[in-house]
Amino acid sequence: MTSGRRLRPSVPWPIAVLGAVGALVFVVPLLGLVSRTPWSRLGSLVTGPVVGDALRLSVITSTAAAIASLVFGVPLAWLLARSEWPGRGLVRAVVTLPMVLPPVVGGAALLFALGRRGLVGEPLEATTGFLLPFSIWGVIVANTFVAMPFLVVSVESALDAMDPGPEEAAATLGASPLTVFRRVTLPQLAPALRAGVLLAWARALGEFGATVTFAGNLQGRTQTLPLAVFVALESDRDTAVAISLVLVAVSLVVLVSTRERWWRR
Amino acid sequence: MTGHLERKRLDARLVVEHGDGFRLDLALDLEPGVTTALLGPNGAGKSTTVRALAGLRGLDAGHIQLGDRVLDDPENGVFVPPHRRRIGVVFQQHQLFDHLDVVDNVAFGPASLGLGRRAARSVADDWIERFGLRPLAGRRPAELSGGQAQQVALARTLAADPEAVLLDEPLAALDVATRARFRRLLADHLGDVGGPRVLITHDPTDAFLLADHLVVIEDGRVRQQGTGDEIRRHPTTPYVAALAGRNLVPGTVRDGQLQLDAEPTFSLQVAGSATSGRVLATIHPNAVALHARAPEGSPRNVWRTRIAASEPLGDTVRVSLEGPLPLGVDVTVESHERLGLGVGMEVWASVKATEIMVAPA
Repeated sequence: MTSGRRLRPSVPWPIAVLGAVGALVFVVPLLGLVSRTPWSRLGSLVTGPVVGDALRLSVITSTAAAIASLVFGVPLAWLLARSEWPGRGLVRAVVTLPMVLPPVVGGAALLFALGRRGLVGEPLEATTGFLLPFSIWGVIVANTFVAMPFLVVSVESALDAMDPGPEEAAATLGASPLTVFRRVTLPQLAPALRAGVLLAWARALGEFGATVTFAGNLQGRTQTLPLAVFVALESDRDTAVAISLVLVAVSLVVLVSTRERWWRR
Repeated sequence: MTGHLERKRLDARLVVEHGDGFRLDLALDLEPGVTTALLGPNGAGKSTTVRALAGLRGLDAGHIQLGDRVLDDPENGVFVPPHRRRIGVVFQQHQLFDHLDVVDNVAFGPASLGLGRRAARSVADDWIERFGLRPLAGRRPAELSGGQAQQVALARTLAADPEAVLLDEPLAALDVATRARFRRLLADHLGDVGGPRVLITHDPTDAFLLADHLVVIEDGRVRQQGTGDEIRRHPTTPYVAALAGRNLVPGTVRDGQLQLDAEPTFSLQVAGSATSGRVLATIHPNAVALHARAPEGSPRNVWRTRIAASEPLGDTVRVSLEGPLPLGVDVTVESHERLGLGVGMEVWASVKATEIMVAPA
């Protein structure tokens, strides 16, 4: 408005039509959801104990998964991008596998590894009495399993594209590799970290398959919002719609607050 | 923090092989307190030399020794990583840290050496004061001009108290006016480094002005070394001859007149009035014309001299003139014969004012 008259290229009609269809793919389902919303009962549905438990659990577990992805995913991305070791390519493939794997398969794999009879789970329970499945920790592990690859991929490609100049300069100034990482590499990664954490958080929030397989579906303990929606669809459609709206709202709030620039454009 | 009391010598034989067949093989013996210019064309191996000395690239053979510390010796499995070498580098692109302000950039070295945050900032403050950077202290690199950024980069390197300093084309990214100022800054502050100083450059003006000793490298090898005068007098390769032939003349410019240091009674007219004071003038050997008789007309810089020497250099003949201005002059073989030039012969030399390039020294 203040920028004066800007000439833009005219829009060719095939691009306009196909692009509009592309947008409808997202808009129509959302409209379907809104059209089925029982507005008068929405307040009481959303504040019910089932939805409240699921919302609290979802926010806690997806935030924990995002933090875990950050703490372990950034060093992992650094190892993949900056060091040479045998089997690196294989590890990279395994790390990114959950992005294409059906989450149910991931959940089954977690069960065989960390479950009561699992490879690691059995000795873990024998020595510490700690059991991951069917607990909030199981949900966090399942969420991290599906979410961390997004952060690793985002950070690794940022590390690959990074100009090595400032890091080399830091080394010649006497900074140890750990100091270089902390004081020069990490600050340069800030945009990739923001994007990676957001993606990981969003992926964890929507996680269904791995969670239900590995952690089960216990209200108040492992039943996150997506699980609650699935259960409610069978028994109480109005509740399913209400929970779905809550998910849409929470996701939009996060998208808007963290990527404000996208929306202002 | 003004350099080490113990003055260390940098002794190196650098052998580095690139995948593309390029092989660097240099022997360098760099004395403390001396600025050595590494001069050479693009692709000569100058950057590889810096990276090898700084530890950003390992040697394939040879050794690097600073004082009594061996920094790299592949045959004996020794490699000291860059952060333990205490060799400072000023890069062509300043490589400042974008997310830190000027003070924190300069404090980075002292902080990395284990000083606390407060102590590191106080060391940085001293350097900022010394470099006159106080007004820029709170700025980020993005808010600095190219020349300012390079000054901060120099301060940052010196603040880390290095035992040797490598300057990798520090002037190449600067515009002409800034370059003169930065050159003076380098001349003022390089003395603060007690150890060896290495200036990498492809610009002979920088080399002659800032360095005590010149090493010319081509194709990964040392072709010639010595003082500027020695190299100028006895060029051994066409590249050195072209460099050396550039006739570098120190003097003082006042009111458009260049007065020679060597012969204060002799002066030349130079173009433009912007520059004055101490300068290094460059006169290209092609820019000087020789005449058998006093020329008439345009060039106002005409003087009488004798031919001291002449030697063939391919299609041209390099003629050396006697005083008052002992220039090297390139003439074609034809004109050499036409004028019947011979050693001891009296000639008139002329050069246009616009052909004399003047750089503030």
